[in-house]
Amino acid sequence: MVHKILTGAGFVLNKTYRETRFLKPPKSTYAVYNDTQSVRGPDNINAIVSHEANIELYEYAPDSAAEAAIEAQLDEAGLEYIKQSRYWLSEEQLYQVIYEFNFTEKKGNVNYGNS
Amino acid sequence: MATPKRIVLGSGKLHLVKFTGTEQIANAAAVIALATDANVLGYIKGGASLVYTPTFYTATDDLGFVTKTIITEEESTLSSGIMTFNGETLAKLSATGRVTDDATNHTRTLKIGGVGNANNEKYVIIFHHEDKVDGDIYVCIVGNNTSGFTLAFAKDQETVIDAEFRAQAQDDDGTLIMYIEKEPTATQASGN
Repeated sequence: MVHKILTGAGFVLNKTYRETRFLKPPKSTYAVYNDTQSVRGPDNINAIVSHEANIELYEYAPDSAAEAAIEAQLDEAGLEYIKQSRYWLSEEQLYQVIYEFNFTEKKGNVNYGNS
Repeated sequence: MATPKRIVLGSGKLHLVKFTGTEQIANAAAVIALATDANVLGYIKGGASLVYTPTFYTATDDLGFVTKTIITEEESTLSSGIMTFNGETLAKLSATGRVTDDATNHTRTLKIGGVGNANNEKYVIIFHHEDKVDGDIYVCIVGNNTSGFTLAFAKDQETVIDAEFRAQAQDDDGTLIMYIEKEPTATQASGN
């Protein structure tokens, strides 16, 4: 889902977005995502994954187009989200906008044992 | 019989059409054909709940050696919270609602009340749960909203109208609920 949102918004994996951090950040607006997962299901079977995800958008100058693209993807997916206010990171000389959202999905390749 | 592996996760769409007769929902295909966007009552918030409540009577001898249990009554309700609505929607949720559209003044007026205005309408209510992995589910009842509604205007909260549709027999067999499972459309079906 996170990949779908970011690629749908025009970001490219490992070029303008990736998980956790960039060692060498791109020179234009880029995004970093984090995805905390809770897995559950019937007793002794993991079949459902709940995600607490966030997308951190880093902008060298306020980039309302990038924000609108991400928001359009979140709207398209029907995901409720929190958009934090734009924050100035003085050390990095970057603006940061964080989107927080949750979603739940079925886990693929579930091991149901012998049943 | 294989152990079911279907997991139901997520909400769906609530459809409502006027009930015209048993033939209207004679089979699964007929029900599915009614679950169109044009028949969506309103977009819902908080999902939907189908409740089936049977009542049993158990006859027992004084010593408890012999018992016999029979079903004496059944009831079912389908409840949901409707978040997008207009006067037409509210009319369908009330037994005495009358809607008048005034094209000249661009107004729509809904009048509710007066038991003499009861329209005695019954509706087909279909909840459609979409699931590309395990297959869609349709829950179909015939009935009407018997819980009235509360139209709350709050300064910091969207209005959601809680409706509870009580099922009535939808055919000569006394069927209250039609639960339909459809084959999954995705290749990653987990086995039903």
